[in-house]
Amino acid sequence: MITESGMNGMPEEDLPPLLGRAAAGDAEAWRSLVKRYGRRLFALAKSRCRDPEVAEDITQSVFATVVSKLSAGEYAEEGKFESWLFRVAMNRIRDHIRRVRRQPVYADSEVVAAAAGAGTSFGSSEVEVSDSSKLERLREAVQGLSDADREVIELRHHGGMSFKQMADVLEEPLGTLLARHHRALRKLKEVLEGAGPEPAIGSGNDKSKPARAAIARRKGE
Amino acid sequence: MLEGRVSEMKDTTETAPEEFAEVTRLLDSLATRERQSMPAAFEGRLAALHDTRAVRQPRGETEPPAMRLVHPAVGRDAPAPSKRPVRGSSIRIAAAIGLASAVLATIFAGRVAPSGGLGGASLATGLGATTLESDLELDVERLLAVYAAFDGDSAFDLPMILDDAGAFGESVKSGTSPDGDWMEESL
Repeated sequence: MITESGMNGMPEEDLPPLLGRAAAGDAEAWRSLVKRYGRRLFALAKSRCRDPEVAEDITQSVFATVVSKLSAGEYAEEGKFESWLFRVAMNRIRDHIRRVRRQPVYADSEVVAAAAGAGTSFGSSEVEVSDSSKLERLREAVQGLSDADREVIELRHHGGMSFKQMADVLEEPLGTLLARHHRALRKLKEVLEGAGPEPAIGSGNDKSKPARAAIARRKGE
Repeated sequence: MLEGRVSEMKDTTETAPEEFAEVTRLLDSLATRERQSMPAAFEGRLAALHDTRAVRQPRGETEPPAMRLVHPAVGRDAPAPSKRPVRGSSIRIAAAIGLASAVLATIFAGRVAPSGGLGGASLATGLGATTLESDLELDVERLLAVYAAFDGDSAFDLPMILDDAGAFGESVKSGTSPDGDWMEESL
């Protein structure tokens, strides 16, 4: 798991005093908070929403909430700052996804082309694929997971959270999350190795679903 | 550039099975790529969220230090937003337009009510300059609060609206009558 901690090899300041200094108006402490969590939140939101601008909006909104709560003295640090921060982020992300799902989704040529590229590469054992194309396939595969599995994967890897923190954020038992993570990894592995179904099929939230359906029709012709 | 590192697992229950080592590695690479894609300028904007809204507590204060919301242009305290941060620039624009309209509607109503006309002098004799002035100050305060809350959003230009409202208020207080075109454009 990758975290933003220990930047530049410097020891990371403990969170409670850092929050205290940020609440007291210390600009440097605030910048440290942004450095520590900004990219993690952005990556989580971007992976979930597939839109960099939306990811910026959500990230900024979360930090605005932090400023507001700290300044008003409404946040009491009890060792769960990260969980609280990511819960706020997840709520914003879910709100956004709910709004998007109410709107009809149309496949455009770019989506079709991307999906077609991903689809034809599955199961290709003769061609040596680069890490970059593997990552693209993995990205597609993650989008094809169920919401519950995808949240665990994205909080864990993009958000850099521990399972205990994820249990706080998602309000699920630790064992459930571990099992879900294991199941999601297996699905992703199967897709990457070409042994599983194409990832987006069966996904309830995938924008490229119409494109994949079109590809499937084309293959059947 | 991302300055992350591969950290140790926080407890033994978090150890990924060996069979998923490659998938885990790729997932971490993907996450790294997503983090790296965050624009540096955006990180600066996040840092500025604090810089533009908070000041240190003056020395000698007996109260515990706390950040105060400050309007960056005038350097004085602005009322804290009573609601949680609003998402979406369309909502922000609507809020700005609504408040600006409230200011102008207040001014307009004050001008036409006493005399039934748009004569500049009628305002002072009808409602009284003090009443209008306090109304204006109240609405400008509300505008300032919204501006302080959404400072940095380029979707609307509240300083310009404030300037217009201020100029109009001044002309009303001084008894000069702004021409009709100005009023129409503002509304």
